[in-house]
Amino acid sequence: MPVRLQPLVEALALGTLGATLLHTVVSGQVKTLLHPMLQPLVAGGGVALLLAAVLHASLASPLGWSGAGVGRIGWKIARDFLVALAVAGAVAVAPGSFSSLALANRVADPSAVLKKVENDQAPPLQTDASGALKVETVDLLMAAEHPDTIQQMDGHRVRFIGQYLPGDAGNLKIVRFLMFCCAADAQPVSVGIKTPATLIIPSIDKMGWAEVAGTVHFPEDVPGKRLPVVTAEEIKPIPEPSDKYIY
Amino acid sequence: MNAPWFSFPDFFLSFAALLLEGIPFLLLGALGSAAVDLFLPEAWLRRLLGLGRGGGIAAGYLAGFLFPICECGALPIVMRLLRKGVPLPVAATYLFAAPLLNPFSIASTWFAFRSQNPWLWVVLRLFLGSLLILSLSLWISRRDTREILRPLMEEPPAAPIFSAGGEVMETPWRRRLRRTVRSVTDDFLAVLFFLVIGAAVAAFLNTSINRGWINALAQHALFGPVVAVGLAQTLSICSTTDAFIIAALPQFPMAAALAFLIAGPLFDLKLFWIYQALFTRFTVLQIWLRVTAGALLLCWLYSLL
Repeated sequence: MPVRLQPLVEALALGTLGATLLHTVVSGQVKTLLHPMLQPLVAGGGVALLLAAVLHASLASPLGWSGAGVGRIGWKIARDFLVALAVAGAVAVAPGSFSSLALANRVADPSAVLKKVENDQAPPLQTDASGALKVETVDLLMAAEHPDTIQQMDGHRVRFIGQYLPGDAGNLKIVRFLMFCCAADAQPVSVGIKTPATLIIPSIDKMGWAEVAGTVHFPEDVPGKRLPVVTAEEIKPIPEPSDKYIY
Repeated sequence: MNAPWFSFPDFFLSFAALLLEGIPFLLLGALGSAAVDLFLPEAWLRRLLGLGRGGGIAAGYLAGFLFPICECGALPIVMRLLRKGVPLPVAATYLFAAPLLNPFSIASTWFAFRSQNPWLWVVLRLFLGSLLILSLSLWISRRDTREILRPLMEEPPAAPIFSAGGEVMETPWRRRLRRTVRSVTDDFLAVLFFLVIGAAVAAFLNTSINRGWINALAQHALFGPVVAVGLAQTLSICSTTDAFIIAALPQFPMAAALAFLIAGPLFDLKLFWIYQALFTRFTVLQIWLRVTAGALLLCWLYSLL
């Protein structure tokens, strides 16, 4: 019986893997797991695995594969079942973004993190209806790297989104994760926010999504090192964006 | 269910990401393996057999440049080459060379260090990595194949082409295709099993180690490379992107960063499991020791220059 069952289990495992890969593409979940450069490979892999499942099932002899002991075939059936279950299960329960623990664990020098993107061609910044520059956390940190851009942006009103990390004494952070290849290597990029005592901050979950509007400055809190700090004028919760990462 | 140092959602996010990153490359490797089985001319293989030890290692090394694939995808191709009769030193050299020497790894190293003399980083990574690959290949070439390899999956026995009545049951091409599909599927699922285990372990460590803990040791001339190799081997990042990670950790001096860049592609937690689809566990542990010791020695020597 296991001899006849094995080709069917192999085909089912391949089909499950293919369907899982395609599901991440169709649902958009792949954007939370992989860099856009790699996403077509997942789509192609999903199609290839589904085709392989069909080919495998159609080529299998009705008597099953021969040439291996029943014990070994039993092990392979269990292995294929576990592999398909692990991949489908991991994808099913994976959240869209990291917790604050990942932010604490992945400490890195922001200026070094940004070396990867500093020469990339960025489109010119747009302004919203209130005249605030629409930016990303990365734009603010990159601006802090050069005296010219500091001069251009210092004192400007900016508006950006990110994950909300409350702090003490009127300081909080807005965080985005910068993905190089996959979520496992994503690095946090955070901007400090000062909140005046008069500002009413609505209830936002820790690491929930928020939009901040305010004025950016680049104080030299550490000698020779400037970092952006935004004095908030408005903070509001927003729904999770479709692009949770910066690539 | 979350401990103060561990988050299950973060673990599953990293685990799923590592799997989705690895599976397409593993599939490419399986397709390459099928292509080798169906289309690689026997005459080429006979030439490889006649190259001798030095020539064979050189051929495997060059193949790492010419047939770019990362560490997850290389194994199914190597398993197929071995079944076709390619000598182990040639196939093993390709296995070690492909992740480190492939053009995508070279390009990502250049990009990651593009503001810090990128060609020096690329040349040093290739040079020191090549020394390490050469030492591993020479060691493997002196070993008895039967001692270090797991028994490879047996090829399917020849199915009858003619029925009892004498009529043709299937064409030789369909028979060959069926054998290839069966064998390649089994290779793919066998290596995927080890990828799943490796990705789970790597995701656990990836989400539970605070990288701030390593800062003090990272800058030490002696311990910096040790910490860097340990980090490369626990994080199990693909060789095509690892340069971006070490470039973002400037606390490591250059020698330590080079140790990270040459040790990680040759051995990490994911590969500890994946290599076991081909080598015995004892051999895999020996590879780990040699990669770790070799990378540390080379980078300590470099730091003295």
